[in-house]
Amino acid sequence: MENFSALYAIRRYFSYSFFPMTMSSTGTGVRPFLTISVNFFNKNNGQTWIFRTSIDVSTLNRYIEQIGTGPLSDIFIVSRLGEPPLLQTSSEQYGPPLSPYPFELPHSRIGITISEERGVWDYVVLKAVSFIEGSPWALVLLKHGYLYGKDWSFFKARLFFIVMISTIVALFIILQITKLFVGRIREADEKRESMMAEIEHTSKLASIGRLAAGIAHEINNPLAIISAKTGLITDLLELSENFKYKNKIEAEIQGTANAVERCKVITHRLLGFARRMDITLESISINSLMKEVLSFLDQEALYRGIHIDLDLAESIPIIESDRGQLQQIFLNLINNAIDAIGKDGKVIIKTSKRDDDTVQVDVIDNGKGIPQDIISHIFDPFFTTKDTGEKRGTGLGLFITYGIIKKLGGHISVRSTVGTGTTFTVILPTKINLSRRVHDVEG
Amino acid sequence: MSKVKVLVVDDEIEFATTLAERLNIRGFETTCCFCTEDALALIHAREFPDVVLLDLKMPHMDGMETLEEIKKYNPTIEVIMLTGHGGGISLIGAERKKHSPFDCIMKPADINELTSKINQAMAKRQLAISKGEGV
Repeated sequence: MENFSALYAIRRYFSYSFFPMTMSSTGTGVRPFLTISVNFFNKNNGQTWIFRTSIDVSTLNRYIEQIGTGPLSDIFIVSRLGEPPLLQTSSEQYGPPLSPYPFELPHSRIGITISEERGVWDYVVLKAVSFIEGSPWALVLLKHGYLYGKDWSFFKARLFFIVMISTIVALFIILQITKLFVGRIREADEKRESMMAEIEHTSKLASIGRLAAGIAHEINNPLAIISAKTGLITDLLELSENFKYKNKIEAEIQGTANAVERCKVITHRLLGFARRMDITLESISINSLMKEVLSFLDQEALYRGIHIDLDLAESIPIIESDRGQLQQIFLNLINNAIDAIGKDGKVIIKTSKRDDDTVQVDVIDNGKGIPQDIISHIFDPFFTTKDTGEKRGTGLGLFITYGIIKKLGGHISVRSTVGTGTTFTVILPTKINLSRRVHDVEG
Repeated sequence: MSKVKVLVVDDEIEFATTLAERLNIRGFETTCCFCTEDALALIHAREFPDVVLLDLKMPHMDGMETLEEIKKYNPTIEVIMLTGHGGGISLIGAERKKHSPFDCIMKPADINELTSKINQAMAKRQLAISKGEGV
């Protein structure tokens, strides 16, 4: 027998034909199968052999299905014999073998023909048809286009829309986050700036205080000499008899003594300010302290028809502070209030709890008020509006008050309306953070 | 009645001498020393004043140390600190010392206040002497 190994070889020496599929019952139901027969002509003895084989379609199916082409394609074999052509293997779309294939096969029997069609549900379908050489069969491959949309343009539009929306949302979120952080940074910056300004201001005041104390100290000795000598001259004049200019000299000396007295007040206040850098802490009820301070006040307030009201909060935390210095600052503020009113008015002293760690005291008067252009200077040293009349101000009261409050860990602020009145607000901590105190050497 | 003996110790010569004159006009017997060495020398020589007006800030020796020295020799001598600066009073509070001054006055001092304090100091000294605490 000749060798059957190469189909080409067989083709040369033998003729073969495919018989179309026939149905055959094998006792287990109707099963389609196809038959291939090969004629073998032995030229040696003139005999013809026919080799016939039947292939179950399911076997063929298996081979076809093994061509993995992805989930959305269809691949099947169609026979070009018959009208319409019949499926030889099963198709997802068109059914089991021997179902009709509802399309025309391409005319060209050579190569692969690719076309575009509309499939079910109007999907675009790519169809490739290849005729199997030497057989009545064609292999049809169907590929549905575009998983996610009916139509490429619709898909494109949807995609574009989604991308646009995402971009806009992303931009919006980025903008918001950026705004948030920029805001935070700006807040932190502003806070830092204001803290720096306050530190600068406080340290400026501290150095002014030290400078003033230093000057006062230097001046004090010569001042003591002048004071002693004018005193001595006065003593001697008293002891002496009348002479030509005695009265005039006495008067002049008195004038000098008065001037010296004014200097003494200033230097003593400045040195007192420097001196009291040491704090003696004790537990103080701010309400009791305010009542004490009232008792120190001159009768002048009553004399001038000024009422002083106490508006004390019922439950207010005990604070740790220096009693003497607190008395000093509130005495200063209340006296200022009285002077601002002049005659017939009202001063309200209000205490309140701000939170668990701070208390607030307001000194409110209905006096003449402080104009906006000078209100920022009232804590400056030697700044006074009381520069005429018998009670000349040294301009040191609020300067010293400010320094003491800062030293005690608190804060002072002022609000005023010309013609209506002024409110000084003092905020004090319940506990002083001692490590933050400004230490001044001797004074 | 003998005059109250006052010793003024201050390195400002003009101040000390003028103050001494004013006190003398008012009936005290006042001596001046312009440095602490002289003052201590006086006291060591057993020439005791009744009251010492002592300036706090002196060269070479601190006012507080001088106070200690004076009290060591004669604890009944009363010392009134004169200070030209504010630190004095708080220093007194801060120092752990055995002896304390009778009082403190800031310069420039009011003469009447000064004389009143000197008289009070004298009274205290006389009381101490009568109790036998010193001379």
